[in-house]
Amino acid sequence: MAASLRKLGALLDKDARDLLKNPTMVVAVILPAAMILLYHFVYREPLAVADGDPAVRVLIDGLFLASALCLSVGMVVSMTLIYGIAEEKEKHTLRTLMLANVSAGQVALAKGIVCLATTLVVGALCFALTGVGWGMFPAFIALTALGAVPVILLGLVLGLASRDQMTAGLYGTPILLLCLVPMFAPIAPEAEAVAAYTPLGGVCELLRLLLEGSLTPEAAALPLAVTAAWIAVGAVAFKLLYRRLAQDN
Amino acid sequence: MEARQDQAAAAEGAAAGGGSAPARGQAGSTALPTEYASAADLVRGELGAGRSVHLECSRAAMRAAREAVQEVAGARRAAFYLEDDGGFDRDTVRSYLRFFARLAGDGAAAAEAIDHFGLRGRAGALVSKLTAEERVLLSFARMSLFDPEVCFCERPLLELGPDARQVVLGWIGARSEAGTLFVTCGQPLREALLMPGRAFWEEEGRFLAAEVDDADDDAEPAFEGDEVRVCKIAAKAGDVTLLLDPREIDFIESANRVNYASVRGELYPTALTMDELEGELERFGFFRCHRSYIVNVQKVAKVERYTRNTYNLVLSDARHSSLPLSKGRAEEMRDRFRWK
Repeated sequence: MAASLRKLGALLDKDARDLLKNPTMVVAVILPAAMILLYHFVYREPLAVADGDPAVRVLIDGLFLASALCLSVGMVVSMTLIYGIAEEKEKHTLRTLMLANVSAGQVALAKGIVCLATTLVVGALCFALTGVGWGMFPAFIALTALGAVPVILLGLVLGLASRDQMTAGLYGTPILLLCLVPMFAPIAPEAEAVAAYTPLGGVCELLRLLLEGSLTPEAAALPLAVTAAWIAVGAVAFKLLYRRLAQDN
Repeated sequence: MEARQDQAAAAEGAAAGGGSAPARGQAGSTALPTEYASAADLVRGELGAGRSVHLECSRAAMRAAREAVQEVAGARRAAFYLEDDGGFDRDTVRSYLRFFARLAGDGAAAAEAIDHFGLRGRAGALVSKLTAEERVLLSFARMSLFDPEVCFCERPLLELGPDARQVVLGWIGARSEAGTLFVTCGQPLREALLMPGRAFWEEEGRFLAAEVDDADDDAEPAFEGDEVRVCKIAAKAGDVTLLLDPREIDFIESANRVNYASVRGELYPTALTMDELEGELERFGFFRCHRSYIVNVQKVAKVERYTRNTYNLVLSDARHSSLPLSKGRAEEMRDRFRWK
């Protein structure tokens, strides 16, 4: 147990340090933040209207928060986690770790924890840029963490399935797109129809209900069930595949 | 101890079951297995018997050997060096080794490993900026952190110059004396013979023991002094027959049942037997340092000793070649050339 914790500590430290030195990380932080800043220009008129109309304010805040959540989770998982694991496979460092008596589970756990922490940091930065009142921050950050769990599990599987960083680009794109669908739900009815059933659809719906003040156990049941289902899918996929995928190229 | 002997007996029994047959140079009374049907059988047999083993083999056999080492090592502390090991590019030598030292449970050991493998001057360098030789040294430094009981290395000496080779062979020798079992793969037989333990070579999927040196099995021809006479060694280069001046020859190597003369780093096959070559070349200052090697003593730059039973001759030829010097012949060589 002590040896496992020691190895996990070493892996967490290594992954966290590596992330700070990784140029891809800069993109994963800058892109969501830049998108939120861009929204302020794109939605200049609705924002002006929202100042005097509480109904528009709820709509606009919902749009900004859903975007902040989806961009943070989607960009960080697809750009740091999937690419990060693929890079380790490509350069055989994952194999070196395995041969140094580190288990695939320990590697995945460390990468998952670092990815979750990074997602929350990027999410907090994006939240600050939305201009939404800080009263919503605890709920936003909690829902970001909850929504990130299934995406991280899927990201771990896809990262381990990637032979190299080129393949990671191929596998990461669907995850990113799937994460971004709920962003467009408030402005595109077609997206709204499927958004609720995407990995982040449940938490975005909970966020909207919170903003509207209509979060009741009945209303929350379906979004929570969708989120739980995605967590289950991610966990099962990870459990079934991680040992096989964590093999040498 | 008893269990270990049982394990050794069982392993040797398994080797016999795997189709062992006497190969060239079989050591008579000790009856060590001289042939194995596969790399996996070889590793299981030799490691199981507590012997280090070194293979001249194909890439596929290297992989099979590595998997067998993983299987045999089990819960024992094992360390692996694979020739395409990358390393975390954004790490420095220091941070890379500190990370593995933490994994191994002794964070302070990294500095010692850096010093031991001569990486102090490169401790702050990024792993991605290291030369091929420095990467190998880094990998050996990493392995040293785990205080391994079993060590697997692919082509360990391939990228190493004379100094780095000395560091690595020195470490292998010291660890071997301390009880670590080594399995090395993919190197030429000459390099395999430099390591402590037994050497094998692959022929059509089977693994044959390299000639075991036995100083007593052949009557050595008497040394006849420094009489000089005309002598040329016939060797092949494509369709051309070369007549080599003995003074140009750095050493003679016997590998895969063919004898080669090494001249300026190139190997030329010759039809003469090792005994014939030894008889012809002895008067030109050549010495049979191993059953498979005859060295031009004028080209020997230094004699290295890594374990009680392991001697190497380092030549001043184009490739700074290292040749094995059998324990039994080391004394004879000292006497003949009056080395104190």
